[in-house]
Amino acid sequence: MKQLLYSLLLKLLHLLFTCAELVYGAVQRLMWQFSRVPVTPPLADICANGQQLAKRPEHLGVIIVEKDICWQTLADIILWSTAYGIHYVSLYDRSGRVRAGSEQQLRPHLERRRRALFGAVPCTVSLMEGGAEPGPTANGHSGDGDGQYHVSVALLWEPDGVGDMVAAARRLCSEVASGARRADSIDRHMFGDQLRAAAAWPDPALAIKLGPVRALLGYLPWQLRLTEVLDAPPRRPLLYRDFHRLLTAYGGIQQRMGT
Amino acid sequence: MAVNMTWISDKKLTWYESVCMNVLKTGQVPRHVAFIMDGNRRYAKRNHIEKTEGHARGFTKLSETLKWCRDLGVTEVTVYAFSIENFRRPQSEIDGIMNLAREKFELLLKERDKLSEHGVCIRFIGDLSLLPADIQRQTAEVMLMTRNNKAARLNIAFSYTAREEISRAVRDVAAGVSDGHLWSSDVTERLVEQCLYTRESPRPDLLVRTSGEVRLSDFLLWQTTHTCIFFTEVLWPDFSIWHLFSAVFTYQRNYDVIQAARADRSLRRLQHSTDGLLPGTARPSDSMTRPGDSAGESLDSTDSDSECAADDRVDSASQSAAAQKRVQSFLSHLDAARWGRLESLVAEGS
Repeated sequence: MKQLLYSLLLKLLHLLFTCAELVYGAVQRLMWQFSRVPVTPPLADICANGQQLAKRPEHLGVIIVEKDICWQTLADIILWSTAYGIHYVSLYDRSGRVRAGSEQQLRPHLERRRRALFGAVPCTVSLMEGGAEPGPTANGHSGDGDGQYHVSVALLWEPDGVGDMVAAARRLCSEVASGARRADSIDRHMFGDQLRAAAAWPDPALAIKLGPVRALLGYLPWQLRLTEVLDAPPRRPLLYRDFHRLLTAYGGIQQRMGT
Repeated sequence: MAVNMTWISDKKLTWYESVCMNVLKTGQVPRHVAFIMDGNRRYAKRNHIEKTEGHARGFTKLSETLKWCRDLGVTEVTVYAFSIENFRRPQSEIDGIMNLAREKFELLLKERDKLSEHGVCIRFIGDLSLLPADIQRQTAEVMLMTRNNKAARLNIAFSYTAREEISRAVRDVAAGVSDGHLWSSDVTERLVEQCLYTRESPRPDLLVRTSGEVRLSDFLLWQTTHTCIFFTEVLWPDFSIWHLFSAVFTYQRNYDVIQAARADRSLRRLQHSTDGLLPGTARPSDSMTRPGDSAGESLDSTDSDSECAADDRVDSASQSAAAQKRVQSFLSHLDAARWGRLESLVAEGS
């Protein structure tokens, strides 16, 4: 009897939380509907904001754990990062929706938003899958990065995580089997160099999580060693001010590196 | 301040803590919880005490937290006690931590009967060769002493980083290939996982990090890809049962979506196994769900060990019987070598 009561109490607690989340979400959406949408500042102001940050990540990760992908949010994050001088952005969705939708969804959004923000200013965005060579860019340039603004974007999914580490292990073992390598040459420095996902990129210093799930669902586990993980607010598309707040919050974080 | 000098706390819960615990226990309880116990030094600074006293209070909190986990029904706990990176701290602080470790590990040896009574197996995970020789012997003795305890397991990550763990596991596998115990085609995710320090353990269901930091700091990077992560601002010595209840409640609220992702992952690995199909092995399609089945049901996602079972099915589907035999033989050999090293350490010290 007691167990039944406890169980009912727990179900009630979860139900209350779910209702509270739904009501809060509905109220927020109503407020967004009727409030003035803050205008995204012009490019010069965004660049100035980026320069004023206490620190900027060299590589920004975006971990998508929400049911519906907001392509405009992804395009905006890429372009705002470009304006901030961030040269590497990885977009991760465990099931590969971002990779699958890169041509039909992401590129058109990127092109539209790039024209709106950068206008005639050259901006090079190189989309690549995992560690593949960069493909044609959103604005048709070859992606050789000779514009002032350039960013490489890796489109990642689950096999780029643990799967990449296993593939690297298998390659190393083949080299050992053929006598091309000694087993005791494998250490954490050389193993990291064997990984292909975001190969030769710096580790992501910051990852922005889009969605309410409290898990990273396989995002680049090796590279995630010291990554700060911040949750984006639920509003979609993400507002520039929210992006700036996240980067500002990152700027205030001090890493002690074990010391 | 009286310090709780025991690993097995028997501090009783208040009636309202008991009620809340019983309510939570009617839902999903994580089987394996990992803790990054951060904040001892900031706690010491805030309370104007020495850093070593802050670490000592952190130990007291660990003892309490283990009791709460036992009461909740958590059967495995992994704690990040000391990172390889922490060797960069001032020598005086490292010496203080090592002295505290000696004291606490000696206490573990003295509490042998209590550990047996509660069936607690202790495992130290990390590059223990970096530790002072006497601490290495202590850790070896504790692991040998508790190896047959099966009710619960405490993994103490000491001189540990995940990258060292993963690269060491790959090195061990490569050594197995070099020695002829394995073929390179035997290398699978499950094999590498069985060579990690946390072999035989289910992946953590819940990871708690205190002190407001929002990173993993090179802790269980391989094992926590699909773990519910709970970051909290509280400093470790101030961690309370209510923070633990919040973490477990958060785990429950994220349980379904994370389990679905885990099941999905196992199914995708089965479908896209890169191990290659050998003649006579089961085709992946034989193990796939029928249309209309939910991945969760077919992979029994209600059991937190289902991921290990699913991983075994992935390997079985694509490996020959000979390959499986090689892998089992290699793992037994590796296990025997590890226990042999521990026995040598203890023998050297006696």
